[in-house]
Amino acid sequence: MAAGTVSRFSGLLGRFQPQLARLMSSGAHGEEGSARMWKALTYFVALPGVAVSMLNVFLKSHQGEHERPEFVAYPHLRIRSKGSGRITAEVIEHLERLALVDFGNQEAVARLEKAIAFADRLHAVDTDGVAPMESVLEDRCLYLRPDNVVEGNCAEEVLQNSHRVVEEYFVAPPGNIPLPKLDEQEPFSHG
Amino acid sequence: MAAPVLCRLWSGRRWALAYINRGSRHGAGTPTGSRSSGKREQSSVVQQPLITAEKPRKGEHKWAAVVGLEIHAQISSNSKLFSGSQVHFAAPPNSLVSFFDASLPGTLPVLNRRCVEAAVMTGLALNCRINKKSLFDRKHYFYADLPAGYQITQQRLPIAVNGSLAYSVFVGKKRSQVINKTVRIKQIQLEQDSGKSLHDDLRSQTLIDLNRAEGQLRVDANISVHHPGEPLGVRTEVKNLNSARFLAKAIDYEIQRQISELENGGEILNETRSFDYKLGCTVPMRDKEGKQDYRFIPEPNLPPLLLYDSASLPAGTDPQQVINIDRIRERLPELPSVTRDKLIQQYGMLPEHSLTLLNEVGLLEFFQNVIKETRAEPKKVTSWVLNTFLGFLKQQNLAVSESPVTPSALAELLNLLDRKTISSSAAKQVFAELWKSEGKTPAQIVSEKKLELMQDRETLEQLCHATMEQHPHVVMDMKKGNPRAINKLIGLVRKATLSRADPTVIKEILEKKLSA
Repeated sequence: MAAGTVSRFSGLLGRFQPQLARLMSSGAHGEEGSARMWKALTYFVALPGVAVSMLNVFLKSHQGEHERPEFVAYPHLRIRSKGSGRITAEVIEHLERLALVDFGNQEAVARLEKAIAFADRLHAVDTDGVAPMESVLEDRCLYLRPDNVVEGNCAEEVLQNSHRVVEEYFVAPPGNIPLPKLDEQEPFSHG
Repeated sequence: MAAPVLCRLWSGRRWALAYINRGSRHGAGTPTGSRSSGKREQSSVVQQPLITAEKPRKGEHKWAAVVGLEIHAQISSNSKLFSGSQVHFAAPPNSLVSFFDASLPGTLPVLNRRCVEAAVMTGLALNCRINKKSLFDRKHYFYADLPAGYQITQQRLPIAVNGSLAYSVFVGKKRSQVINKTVRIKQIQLEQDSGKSLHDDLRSQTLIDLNRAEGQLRVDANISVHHPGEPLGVRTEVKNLNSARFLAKAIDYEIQRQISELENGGEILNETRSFDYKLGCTVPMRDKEGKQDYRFIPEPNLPPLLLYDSASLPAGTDPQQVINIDRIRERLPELPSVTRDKLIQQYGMLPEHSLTLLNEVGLLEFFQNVIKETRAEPKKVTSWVLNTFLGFLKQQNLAVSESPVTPSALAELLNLLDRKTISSSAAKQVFAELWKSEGKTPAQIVSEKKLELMQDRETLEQLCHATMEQHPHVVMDMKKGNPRAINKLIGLVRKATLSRADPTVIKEILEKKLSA
């Protein structure tokens, strides 16, 4: 598909080529004219535009200022596995239980280690004195809904997704099926 | 899926607290243990008071127990915390479930304004600092009644922190002494409630109802022991407590268990335990998986919750979209401690009486209605309401609203007593008659049963004279100076008058006669 795109692109270029040539030739004497035009644009449009934008940002920065509460870290932030970045079998087992993922084989674990190493490069950025961002939505307004009943009452629809239903109840297994420990046997993979 | 259930606040996993499934629930929660409920939207507000109790033991070291309570209370609202489905108790299963509550992909939480107001009111009533900016987090764990796999809560930066609650305890042999105590409230947070699971052991399955809103108040206790001065011990969490009495029993048992375990050289596991009502002890609940890791992350679908006060309110904003803490503070009803103080000031009531008056639903209103219509002294009214009236109610296990005696009837009775138309023993008889609710007024009962006090002094004097003549030996006893003899004579006169005479008047007449 890439090749096709390139050929289409060069085809398009080919169509414009004579037009470009005409522009060039007509502007030969107007070279100065066009240079003047660009100069004018720079001084009267581009630079004032930049100045106005800077002013806007400067004003906005004062307007939106509200003091941020002290950052409260999650207790599990910045946990580093001991050693040279190798993840222990214990951690893998813990992750498998928590997230119900199956790391299956050594290659999957290696991929995980690479992903962590990749993310670790964030530490190269010096964030001293910079308040952490909570989320990309942090400057948005949280919409407050009035306390009215506007939905629900659709048990049949909601139950349609369930594999098994008993008298309008969803049916689930009796409890969480416990995962066997690593030393006991091979951990079975979850569907 | 949170039904707004209040009260912070927090079923096994389901918690209703407040605020909480189906309804909004408030849950009181510790940072690690908030109840979560699944899809139902419930707001839960979580608060966590900490109580330290001294527990001296024989031996050199003293033990101190530290107890934290996670209270889940359902917020009273029409729709759930994060969805517009209804909050209603005992509805057909899954009938109050919207697509968001069922955790269908593509649905998003939309915060209920009423739940935020309720959380702020709770925070203000409990002297908390209201966080003008609070955040929502996700708490992950797997269970069938939590279809999303996580619960939206406010673990890191909740809506209110650092409050306190002052309360009174009755102590002493007759529970007549009142001690005032304070407990700290660590935080109040809004939280979803999870669904309801019905375990069908016969068919080895669990039935899930995502309506939520089980009960209105749930409590979990976190208990640890340590030696004063040393760091805090490992704590255990006790769930499945649904009354204050069992809560106290469970905490006492767990403290003792931990102390014995540690004194015998064992160690305490950080685990979740359940309270067995029949055996009166705590038993381990979950399988030994070690500490639950909830993998908290910020809720990506909800921006921070910003609250304002009158000073910081930005101009030109839609009033429906902003919450003004000062406005809410103005709308707070009179808090119980203020009411109690007023009663003590106005009526010279004892603090313990004011506590009893406020602890019974509707009793304060009853009391105030009686006061309005009677000329009797407030102390008399207090005594009648708290002793006689409440006594009758409790005997038949009735609520104030179910009382057969109306405030006007009691007021009329007390007026008769005040005017000395009847004696106090006659009044009690009349009250018992009123309780049968045969539709008669106190005045009617008094005239029917001829309970009026004798007003005619002459007749009374004649009766006294007659009685004294009939019982000369008692009169001799009295003349000898036996104080109890006069009581016997009073009793005889009273019998003669069929209890229609005022004992104090009888005594006066007799003494006069004797001295004559």
